[in-house]
Amino acid sequence: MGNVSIANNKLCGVWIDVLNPLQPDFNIDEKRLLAHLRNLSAKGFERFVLFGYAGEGASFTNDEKLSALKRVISEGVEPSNICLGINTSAIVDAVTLINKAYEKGVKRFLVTPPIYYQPLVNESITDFFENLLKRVGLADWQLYIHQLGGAADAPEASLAELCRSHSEIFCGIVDQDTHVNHTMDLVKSFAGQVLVIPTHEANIQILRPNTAISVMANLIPNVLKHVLENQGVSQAIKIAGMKIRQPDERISELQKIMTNYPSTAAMKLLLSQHYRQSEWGLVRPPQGKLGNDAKESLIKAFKSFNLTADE
Amino acid sequence: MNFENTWYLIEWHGRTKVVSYEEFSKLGKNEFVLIENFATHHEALMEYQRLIKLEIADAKEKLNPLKSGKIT
Repeated sequence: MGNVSIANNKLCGVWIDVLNPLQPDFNIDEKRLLAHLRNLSAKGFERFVLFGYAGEGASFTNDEKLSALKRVISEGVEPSNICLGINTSAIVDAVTLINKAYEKGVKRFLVTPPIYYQPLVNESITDFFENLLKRVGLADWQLYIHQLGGAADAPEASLAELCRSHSEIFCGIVDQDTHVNHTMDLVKSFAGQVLVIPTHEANIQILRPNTAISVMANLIPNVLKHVLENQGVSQAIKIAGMKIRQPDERISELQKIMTNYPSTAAMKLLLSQHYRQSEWGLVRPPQGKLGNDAKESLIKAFKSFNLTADE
Repeated sequence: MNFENTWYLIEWHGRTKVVSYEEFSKLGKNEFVLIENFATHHEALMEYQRLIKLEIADAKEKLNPLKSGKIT
């Protein structure tokens, strides 16, 4: 895979924002992670964002990320099907992780803009990415900038500058903001230059993009695929004893269940119910965990959601 | 991922069962629901056994109103 150019092979389709299973000591449970990726692959979903937003990327060190990466690649996950989250303001750490993952064959990276003690000006953000690109020193890789919303966003002026100066490497903007207008503004500004990739499933329903990164796809990958491919009516989901549900409705139902809870912790709890493995419910501090009442309420709602294995 | 030597835990005509890749490949598209895939037969059987035990525990819970606290 190492010699294949990916210049014209940008992210496409459903990329799963993979949740990270943890051991009771909050270290990554690599065996369980691999089992999850294997199950998703067996269902036909083989494209993964590792250590992104849902993967609690900011909570793990370079060594932990590289160890997990080494394990999943050695067990058969194609490096070309991995987009690795890079979440650090220390430029040397970011460069080291990109270079070491690249050596393993990974060529797609989802990089969050830096954060600092005081708000950063446009020029500082641009400098960070310029310096990152220079230090990485590779020609054949893809940079996706991860907009987390609000003050953590890279300003449009910086994104535009990077579009002009690094159009071959800067391939896309991944928008984590929940507001559809935020994504639409990015589309208006950058359509035709770089990909704008939504992550909030309700927005995916509205925007109908060709590419999406989804945390819900950990649980209902087929539903996301149908929404992306616009197969609404023909792919209705039949649930015993209930009316036929459209993929759009299933997303809305799941969204409603999770709406008042931190999305990563809530989705992990639902996955723990799906696999019937309580360990999946663990989140690493500082990620907020769910209280007992919240857990009880979510589990009850999830039972009513009535997930079918083919979703 | 290469699935040729792997094992599948599936729901087939209302029954949960473990099948090899070879058997799995012969099933019709709408004949089964895939639950999980495993690298070894042993792992698949262990998970199958674990799920059965959980189902038995759930059934016991439902059948034992004293334990579930519905009758005091």
